[in-house]
Amino acid sequence: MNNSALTTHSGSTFDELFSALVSCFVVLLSTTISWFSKTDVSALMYLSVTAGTMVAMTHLYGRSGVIGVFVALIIYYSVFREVPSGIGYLYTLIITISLFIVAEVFDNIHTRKALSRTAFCAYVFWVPGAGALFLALFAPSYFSSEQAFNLYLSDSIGILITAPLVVLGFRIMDSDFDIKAWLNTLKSHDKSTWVYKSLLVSAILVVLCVDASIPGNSYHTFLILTPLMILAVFNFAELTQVVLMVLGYYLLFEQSDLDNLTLLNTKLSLFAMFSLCIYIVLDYKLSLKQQVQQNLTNLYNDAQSGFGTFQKLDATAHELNDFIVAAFDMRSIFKYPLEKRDRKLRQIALFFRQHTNLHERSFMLYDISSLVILLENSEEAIEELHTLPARLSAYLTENAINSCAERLYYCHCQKGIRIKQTVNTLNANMRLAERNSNQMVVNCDSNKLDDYIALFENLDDKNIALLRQNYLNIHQPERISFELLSRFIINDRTLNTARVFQYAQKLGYLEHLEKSVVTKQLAYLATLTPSSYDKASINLTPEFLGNLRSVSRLIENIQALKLQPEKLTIEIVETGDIENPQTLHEALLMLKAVGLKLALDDFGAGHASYNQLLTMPVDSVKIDGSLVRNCLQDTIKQKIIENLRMVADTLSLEVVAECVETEEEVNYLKAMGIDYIQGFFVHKPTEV
Amino acid sequence: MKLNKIESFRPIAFLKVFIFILGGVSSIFQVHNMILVDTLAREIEDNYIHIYSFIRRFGSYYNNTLSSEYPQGSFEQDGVSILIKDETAQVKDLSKGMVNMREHLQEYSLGNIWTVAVFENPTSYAHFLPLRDIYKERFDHYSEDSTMEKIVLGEGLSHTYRSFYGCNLRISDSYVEAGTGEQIRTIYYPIHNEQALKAVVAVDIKNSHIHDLVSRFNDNHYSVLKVDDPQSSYSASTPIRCANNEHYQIGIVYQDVLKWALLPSLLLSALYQFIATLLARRGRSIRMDEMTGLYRRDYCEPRFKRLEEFALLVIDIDHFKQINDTHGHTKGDEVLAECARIIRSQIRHEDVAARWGGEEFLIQFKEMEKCVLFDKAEQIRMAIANEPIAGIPVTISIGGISIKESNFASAYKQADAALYQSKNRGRNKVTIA
Repeated sequence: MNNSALTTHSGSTFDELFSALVSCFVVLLSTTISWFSKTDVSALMYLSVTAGTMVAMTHLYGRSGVIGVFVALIIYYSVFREVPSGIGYLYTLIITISLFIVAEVFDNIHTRKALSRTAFCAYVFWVPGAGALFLALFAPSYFSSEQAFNLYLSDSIGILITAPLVVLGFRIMDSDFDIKAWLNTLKSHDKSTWVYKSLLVSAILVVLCVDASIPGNSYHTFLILTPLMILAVFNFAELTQVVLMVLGYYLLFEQSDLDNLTLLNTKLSLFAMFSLCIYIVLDYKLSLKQQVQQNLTNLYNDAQSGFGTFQKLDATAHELNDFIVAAFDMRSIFKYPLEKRDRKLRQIALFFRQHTNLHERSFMLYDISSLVILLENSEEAIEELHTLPARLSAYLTENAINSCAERLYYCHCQKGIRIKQTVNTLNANMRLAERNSNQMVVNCDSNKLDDYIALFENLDDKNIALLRQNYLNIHQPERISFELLSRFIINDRTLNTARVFQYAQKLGYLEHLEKSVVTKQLAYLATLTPSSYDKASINLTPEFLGNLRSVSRLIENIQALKLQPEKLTIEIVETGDIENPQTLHEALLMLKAVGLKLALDDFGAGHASYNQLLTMPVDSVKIDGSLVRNCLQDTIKQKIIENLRMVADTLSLEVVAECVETEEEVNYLKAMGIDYIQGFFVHKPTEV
Repeated sequence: MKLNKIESFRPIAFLKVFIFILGGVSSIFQVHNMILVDTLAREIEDNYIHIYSFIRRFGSYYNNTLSSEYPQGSFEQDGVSILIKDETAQVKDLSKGMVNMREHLQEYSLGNIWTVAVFENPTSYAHFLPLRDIYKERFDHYSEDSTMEKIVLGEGLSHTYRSFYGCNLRISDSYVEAGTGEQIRTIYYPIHNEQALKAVVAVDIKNSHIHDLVSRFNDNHYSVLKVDDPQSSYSASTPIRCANNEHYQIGIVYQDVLKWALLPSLLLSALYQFIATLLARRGRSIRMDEMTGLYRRDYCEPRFKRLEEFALLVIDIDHFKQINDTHGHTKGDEVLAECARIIRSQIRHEDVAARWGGEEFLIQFKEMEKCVLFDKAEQIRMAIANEPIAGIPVTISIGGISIKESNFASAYKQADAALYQSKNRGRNKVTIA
């Protein structure tokens, strides 16, 4: 999000005066550094620290900073260091005006890249250059061109070295810098980095202490130091490097240099070049860092909704130990058109920003249409979670956004868990939840959905067990008929088969599941000799059968295994609404054309009714167990069975009765003219 | 489109203007002085040449003056004192000429001539104008032959008649005259006749001569030049004509330049501020709505019509008519002004807020994305709704549009429709079309 667009224009006179005062004070303070130097030459050099500070103040406070610089210099030249010729004032005027110009230019530069380049040129070249040039022009008695050049170089170096330091310091003070966090990042480095870095530091210190203590050896020291410093540049934070540069600065110049200005200037030029090189490396490093930061921000923030993205969720979850993942079901909002949806999401984001402290830890996941929130694992957090849906709902109502109350799902999480998995679990919970339950906050730790989800996600042949239930052909009992059923096992636990299919359907795994089951079933049938059975049925859902691609693959599979199609019956299972009756019909005809038999399963339960019977090209119909069970006591059930028998006769279909458990029932059904009988009485399902 | 905001007087802004003007004025003045350094040097030289040439003319006057006999002692004639060592001497009657010369020289040297004297060679008698006690004493010590000869030899003036070029007189280094304590230089002019040194003319010039010249020059040329000031930041060295390789420094002390520039700069910056405020106020009455301090519609509308990219918010105060009816129009105006102030405080410098109708405002944001526009609108709505305005709870409804490659009429229409929606949804709402 473009934060700068949200800023308001402010800056009262009071603020300006305050920052002017601060900058005035800091600049004056910086002039005192030269008091501590031991020699004249270093005193001269330390004065350029002031130049750096002035630039830093301009950079931080803009025009009011420049005013502060102006006042500070005026005070300095009229109180601390009087210059009767007025050269000090001349310098003050020139520096102030050139800084003003710089500040003015910056006001009109908006792109970040151009800004850093211009800042560099303006501060390092223009400001000290203008100062030195005007002094050389207007005060040649004090500043010969040689002296002016010296001033330019030392100011330029001072700015290069000190200004970033001062700005950094102020920035750190401004943003509440967390020392603990910083120490933690230090701790997070691995051992080899630590060894390497401490070696580097101690090498530099040894060179500084031992080599530099030999008088007249400072060049030598500098030469040894240079490669070390370059190594340091690549490995250390900016701060260290700048401190090292200051040390080098201190080392390189000797008292005797003051007598030979040309030599001093040569040294300074070389050192300026060196500092420039280091600065460029630093700038490169910094801009790279900023680029990364920028990219990360773009990656982490969802511009449409104002929440975090999945990438941010993933990264945040990595850092947490024991936490709660909660997900708001936002599917109702996702039904709206894009613009409207985004507006609603933004409103919700506003709620989270203003009325909760969860905004930083809220993430919008579009693929599962939910808002995921990470919380500490604590009683209060859970309590807050429980109030959240009601509060959100109240807020939305207040803001006249019609949207039904959203349900919240949550579960506990430990470090190291893959967040994707947890989110998927929550999503599964969301989809499997009962529509009209009153529970607004659902704890997903307690229900046993994990096994099912794990099953769907890593479905393997080993998880599927086949069951075979033989059934009786009343007219020709010697002919062996059986139905292949399936059972699902995960981690040695057997799952409820009906639920597996129900969940698979809701979560969209049904096609994959059925394909695996059917493949296994056909493979089993292929192991049997064709003469050992007369009729084998397998169950398939209308969804599966409604997909022409799956059906043709099924047919290919049957042909490849050389099964006899006329011995195979496909039972069409009842699963609710049939999405596309046209395609289903087409597919069924395809199956029939190959020679497969079709049966309508679960007749009398749910949607499986006469309508289906009349429209589907089936060969047999299976009476649902619920109609068969206790049919002797229930005359209505008897009537239905009777009726069905008559209809089946008319359509010339065979009728199968399921769940037959007693001999009386068998006799009754036989009398009714049922063709096949299936149930515990005939054969219990056995694993194959 | 750039519309400048009007600012009230800010000391920092004024100081900035002052610093710029001071820098400019002092630089110009410094350059002016630097240019004048050479002119001054020439003027001083001319002055010396003039003095020298006048002294030279005394030579022929001397040679052609008649003498009369005087006894030993001191005499005064027309204000000129004559000291005679010998018992009797043929004394040339130089008084009139000397008085005349002194007057002339006094005029050229701005009244800095100290003493004019003519010494005979050999030193039998001398003329002084005026005669000071110390001269009497000293004159007694001059031995009869050598003193003048020595001076002439020492100054290298012994045979000046042999050539007609170069200096035939000499100005001494600056010295303090014993007895009077006056800082002076002496110009020696030997008078030769028939290859013999007849007399030496000595003219004492006070050191303040050159300073007076400089002050006169400064007065005439509005400059702050100085001579031989160790503080000068810019200086040019000029040799003194007919002196023993002596130079004087004409220089500029920056402090003087600064002092000179201070008052004009202050006046100029005050004038600038005054004119700027005047112009701003004039422009303001054209551009701004007096009551709210926002832009006027008839000023903004033609400018909006030229734009193609819009991030517009149309803001309307809810139930404004009721406020007017229940609290009176004064209160209503107060509410309007206060709302406008809050709106102004919530937008950036480059955004343009205008009073569009009675209680309707319009804000055009510069480069704002759609999603941010909503947040911004919420920010404004909250800023108004959060606290009572002029003691009354006031809310606003906002309609907005962010659109590119469109025209103002259609953008405004859509924003207005959005505003209508906000009103319909119960007011105190934001709708972005």
